This record gives sequence, C-alpha cells and structure tokens, in this order.
Amino acid sequence: MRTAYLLAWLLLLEMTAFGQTSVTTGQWLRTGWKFHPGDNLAWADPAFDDHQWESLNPADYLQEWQQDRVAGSGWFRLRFRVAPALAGQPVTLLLSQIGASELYLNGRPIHRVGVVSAQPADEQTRYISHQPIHVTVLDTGVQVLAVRYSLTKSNFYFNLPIPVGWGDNPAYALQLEPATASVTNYARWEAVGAVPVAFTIGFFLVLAILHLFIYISFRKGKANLYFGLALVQLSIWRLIPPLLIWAELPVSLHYSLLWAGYGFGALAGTFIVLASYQVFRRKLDWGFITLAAFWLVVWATLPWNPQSITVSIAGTFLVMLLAAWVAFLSIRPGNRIGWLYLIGSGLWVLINLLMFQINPETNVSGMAVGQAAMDIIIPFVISIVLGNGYVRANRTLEAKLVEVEQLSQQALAHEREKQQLLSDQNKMLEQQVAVRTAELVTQKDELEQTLKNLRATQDQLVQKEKMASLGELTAGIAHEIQNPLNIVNNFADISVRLADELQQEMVAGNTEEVNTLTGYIKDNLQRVSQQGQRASAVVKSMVRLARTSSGEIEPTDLNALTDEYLRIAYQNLKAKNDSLTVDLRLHLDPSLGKVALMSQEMGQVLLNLYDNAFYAITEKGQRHPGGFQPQIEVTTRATEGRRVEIRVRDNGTGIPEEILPKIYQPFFTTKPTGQGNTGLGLALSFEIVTKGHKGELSVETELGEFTEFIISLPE
Amino acid sequence: MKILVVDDELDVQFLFEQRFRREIRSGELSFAFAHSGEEALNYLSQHPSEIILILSDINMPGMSGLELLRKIREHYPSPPPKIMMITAYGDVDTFNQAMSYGADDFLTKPLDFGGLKDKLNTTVGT
Repeated sequence: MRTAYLLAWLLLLEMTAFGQTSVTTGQWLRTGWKFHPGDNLAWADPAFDDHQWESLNPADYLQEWQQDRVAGSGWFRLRFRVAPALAGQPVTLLLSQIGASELYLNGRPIHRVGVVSAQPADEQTRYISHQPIHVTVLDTGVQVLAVRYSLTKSNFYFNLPIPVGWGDNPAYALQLEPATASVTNYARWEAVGAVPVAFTIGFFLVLAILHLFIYISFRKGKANLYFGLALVQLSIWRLIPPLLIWAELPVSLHYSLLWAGYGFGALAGTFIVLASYQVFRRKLDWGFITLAAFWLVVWATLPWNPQSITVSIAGTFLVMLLAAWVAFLSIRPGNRIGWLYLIGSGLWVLINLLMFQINPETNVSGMAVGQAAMDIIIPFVISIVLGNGYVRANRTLEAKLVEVEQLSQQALAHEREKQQLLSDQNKMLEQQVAVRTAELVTQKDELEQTLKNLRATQDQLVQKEKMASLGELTAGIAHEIQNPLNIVNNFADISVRLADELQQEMVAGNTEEVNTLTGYIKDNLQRVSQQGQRASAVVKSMVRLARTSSGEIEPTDLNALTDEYLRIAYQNLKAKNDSLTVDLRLHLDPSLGKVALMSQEMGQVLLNLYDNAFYAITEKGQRHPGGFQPQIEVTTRATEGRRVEIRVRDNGTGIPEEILPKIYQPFFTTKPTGQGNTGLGLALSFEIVTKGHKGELSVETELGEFTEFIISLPE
Repeated sequence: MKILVVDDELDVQFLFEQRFRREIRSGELSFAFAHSGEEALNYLSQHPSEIILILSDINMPGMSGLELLRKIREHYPSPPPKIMMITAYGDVDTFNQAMSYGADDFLTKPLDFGGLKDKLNTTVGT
C-alpha cells in the first residue's frame, strides 16, 4: 500500500557489473562512473583525463551525495562500449534523476534537465523517472558520458528506501534500451498498471459520490460521510504518485506533494476505521484514538524516519485489525454482516502476502491487479456493509410499514368497533330515553291525575270548609236562637210551677203570696216575650244575610245614599239617647257620579257602620263623662284606578288589637246581647261589600282614639 | 251551701232564684251571680273559701268558662270548690277539655233543674 510498491515495480533488479566492456539494451549504466565536485565545462571533453577522480555510482544514495560529498554541483564521467549489435543503431537512454543535469556524449551536449547551478537561486531541479533520451550514433569504440549535475541543500526531499540495489533515491541513473520498443518501465506500467489504478480511483470516486450523496440525503448516517471522505482521500493518495511521475516537478514540490499524498493515505486509514466504528455502532475507544495518534506521528515524522515503510505497513495492518475487531464484536445472531469484514480483511492479508511473492519487474500486471484488488477490497466490503445496513433498514421499514398498516387497520377496526359501540350506546340511550320518557309521561299522567285528585280534594275541602262555615254559622245561629229559647223554655216551665203554687195559695187565701207569685209570672211572661223577639230578630238577620246577593245593581247617587242613611242612623241614636250631641262632618266629593250598586244592601252596610260608630262614641262618652266631644266624619271621594271610597270615622273607643281579626266573624260582638244585636252586622257588611260589589272593606283604628272603616268600590 | 252561678245571660239569675225559691227561703241554698269570668274571679277573691260549688257557662264574651275553670284551679287550690260546667253544646271535645282542666261535672243547656237539684244534693252530701 505504500509508494514502496509503486516504485518497486518501476525499478529493476540489480544488474551485473561491467567495466568498459560492452553494454547492451536492458542494462543500467551502473558501474565505472567517476566523480569530481565542482564545475568545469572542460570536464565534458572526452579526452579529459579523469583517472584522478574517485569512483562513484550516481545511482547510489542521494542522501550520501548531498550530505557527505558535495553541497552544490559536481561532474560524473563514464567510459563504456556498446555491444556490436547496437553499433550504429538508434538506442534510448532512460533517465531517472533527482536534481538538475546536463548530459554530454563524447563532448557533445545531448540532454538537459532543469538548470544546473551551485546557487540555489539559479538552480532548477526536477524529479524525473524514466525519461527517454534518444541517441542515434554509437560505434563500438569507447564512448564517454559526462554529466554536469547539481542538487543544492535548499531542495527538500526525503529518503524512502527503494528496494533492490538501486539506492534509496537515484541522484542520476541511466538505462540502455532499444529505441524502437516501448520498453520504459514507466511505459510498461502505463500499459499495464494505469488501468488498475484508474479503475481503483474510479471505483473509489464512484463509491465516494454514492456514499457522500447518501450522507447528504440522510445526515444521520455518519458512517457514509466518513467512508465517503475516506474514499476521496484514498483516491487522492492513489492519484498523486503517478501524477508526480508524469508531471516531472521540481524536487521540493515533488516531495511535498508526495508527503501530502501519504497524509491522505494515513487519513484514509483512520477514516476507514472511523466509518467501521460507525457502521457497527461502536463508540470511539482507545483503540481508535491510538490508531489516529499513531498515524499522525508516523505521517509527521515520515521524511525523517528510516523505518517509515515498516511502520506504515504496521499501521495498515492495525487499520485492518481494528476494523475487523469492531466487525467481529458486532457479530451476533441475526446480524452476521461483520463476517464480511473479517473475510474482507482476511482476503486483504492474503493478497498482501501473495504480493510479496510477486516479482515487480517480471510481473508488473500482477502487481497492478493485486494492488488494485487490495485497494478496493476493504472499501468494497464497507460499501456492501453500509448497503446491507440500508437493505436492513429498508426491510425494517417495510416490516414497519406492514406493521403500521396492520396497526392502522387495527385502529380502523377499533374505530369501527368504537363507532359500533357508540351507536349501540346511542341506541341504548335512545331506548333508555324512550323508556324514561314513557316513565315521565306516565309520571306526568300520574301527576296530572294526582293534581286532578288534589283539585277534587281541594274542591271537597273547600266544600267541607264551606260546610264547616255553614256548620259554624248554623251552630252560631243555633246558639243565638237556643239561648233565648232555653230561657223561654225555662221561664215557661217555672211559670207553670208558679201557676200551680198560685192556685194552691189562692185556695189557701194567702193573698200576699198570691201577689208575689202573680208578679213573678208576669215578669216571666215579659221575659218570654222579650226572648221571643230576640230570637225573631236573629232569624230576620239570618234571612237578610242569606239574601245579600239578591238585590239588583243599578246606578246610584252614592253621595245621596251616604247622607240619607247617616240621617236615619242619627235619628235612631237620638231615639235611644237624646242627651248625646255629636259633631257630624260630611265631606261629599261632588265629582262622584252615579255608582252601580245595590242601594238597599249598601244602605244596610252604611247603617251598620254608622250604628257601630255611634255605639263607640256613646261608650266613650259614658267612660269620660266630661270633656269628650264625640265626632263622626263621613267622606266620599273618587280614588285612583276608577274606584270610589267611603270613609266612616269616629273618635270613639277604638278596637282592641286582639279582637281586630274577629270583627268580621259572624256572631262576634262586643255589645251586650239582646236589644236586637245579633253579632252579624259587620259580617253581613263584609259579605255585601266584597261579594256583592267586588269591593273592599277595611278598618284603621287606634285604641281609645279612633276607628275608621273604609269601603272601597269599583266605580 | 253557697253556689256561684256564672253566666252572661242576666235572666239566668231569675231562673235560679225562682226555681230554688223554697231552698233559698229555707236557707238550704244561697246563690251568688256573676255575669262574666272576670266578675267571678273578682267575687272569689273577695269571698275566699265561701263558695262550695261553681256553676259556669262556657260560652261567654271575654273570659270563657273553660279559662275561668283553669284559673280557679290554678289560683284557688285550697279548699277547692266543686265546679260544674254548663254549655249549650254537648260536644266531646269541650267535655274532654273541661274534664282535663279539672271540672267535676258537665251539664248541658237547657238546664234540667230537677236533675241539677239531685246532683247538688249528691255533691254536697258527699
């Protein structure tokens, strides 16, 4: 893998030494050279005597030349003969050199490479490999080659060992070849080795483009980046040496570029391992770091390292070993791709070993093909492994896709199931709703029935209440009538007994007792009569109460009615109690028109209210004999809402709060019983006002101060 | 024996006076009359321990007979007079109430004087 190989098959085996004996084609002009440092164009003369010059082979170590002999320039001279077969034939001299040179044949300049000078500023060196020099006239006599040569210390180069006797680097080397055949090593390499190298580089570049493109498309695959970069580096590394040979650059530039090329090689080795780590998903470990550090050191010290070839080969093996190790670690059931790595590495080692058995001179094509095979085998394996990764990924994806499809189908089925469930639930809910609705309807019906029942019950209750009031009324009536009747009965009963006693006393002639008894009987009869009238009055009131709604409604002058009944009431009062003088105040609203009402019934109401008022002031007058001015005030007026109002106000005793709720109850009275007082007056009045006229009867009072009854009627 | 009659009907007094004329004259019975519950309580406070029997109407303006009964039982425990309630309505509720208040007997109107006289004899005799 090192330039050593490339150069190896460019070089030839050690040729047999010869003196001034004839040389033939295929031979290096290697022995018999004389050398003298310095510079003198006269030294080109064939006749110049160089016996004093030391013997030196210019194809020997350049290092020795530059360090130990001369800094600057010097001359080589060689005397030789050609084989008789070559005499007069055109031949080719193949030149390989590092430095600047001028070649003289028998004193005539025939070839020049660069510009020879001991001054670095003037000197122009070239790295030359197998440059043909065509020489046409050569006889069998002694030929003299003189080389004017320079390689100043300003030239950078480094010493890579070149196998098989040519020296590490040839300062100046010539090979005799026939002119007609394309026989240069370079040409041979070009014919046989260029294709494998071109193939290798093409292979590298195609793979590089492929993997870098994959990386650009899919940034997560770092292995592709590393591998792609490694391939680019390999391409550069492989491209540089032939390019340098072809370009024939100045020595310093040649070596600098060569060094850089080796750098790409080292970098490629590191990146291949890096890519392998990525491929097999292994974290970077000390193995990798060691390798990277190793390569860095090897590369950095390369120009000065006498063992550079060895350590480079060792580094290459280390690369293989690490990649194979990482691959080996990745091997597990289901992922055996690592084996491919191992097989690839094994093949590489095998080819490498075989390559050592190949003679680079005799089997150039074998070297080239073997080298190409070695070059591509690992990248090929890595590419396959990466591709396999993609295949696996695709398979996984395919499997995932199938899985996803299955899942989505499952999800779909699940969704359908859910919908089915939902619709089932909906149906169930609808059914439940229907059931509930039916229940509700039933409940509603039941409630309606209950309501009906309740209403019926209410009606019944109202009826019962009515009956109860009727019962109360009846009881009241009964009581009111029963009391006088009881008394009548009792007095009648007693009077019968008294009459018996009277008869007995009359027979006995007891006049005094007769008179007493007669008086009793007379009193009793009077009481019977009084109680009879009382009962009769109660019955009349009852009859009137029962007839409250029998009157006819007609337009009535309310003011006139109010006035008239006040006079009647006052006359009644005067008849009972002439001594009482009352301040009567009458405020009649002239705007009051005719009001639709039952005049007789309303008259009764007014009369009752007046009577009560007169009773209240009479009572108060009796309690306060002096200083009390009785007063009755009657007011009519039209009020809001098309209503009329009659107020009857007295400044009498007032009504105690506790009996206020009872005043409209039938038979409730505060007046003494008898004297035509039934306790029905206000009850009757309330009935007439509220039921007979849709009006309101209300009272305002303050105990000991006043009482005011208010009749409010719709107009 | 002294009997207090409580009734708002003034004529009741004449009834009792005429019906028990002989008993009054002989001094066997003597009557006091009150026309309301308040009057009756007033009389009792002025004449403590004099009355042996009280006859009271129930249905009266102002203080009712039952209230009177309750108050007498509260304020005049010793010596407790006999109390008979008189009413025109012989309903069970009124009867029970009167009895729970501590009435000794329950009479209905119209008064059966003959029966009353017997009861007086029995009551006082015992």
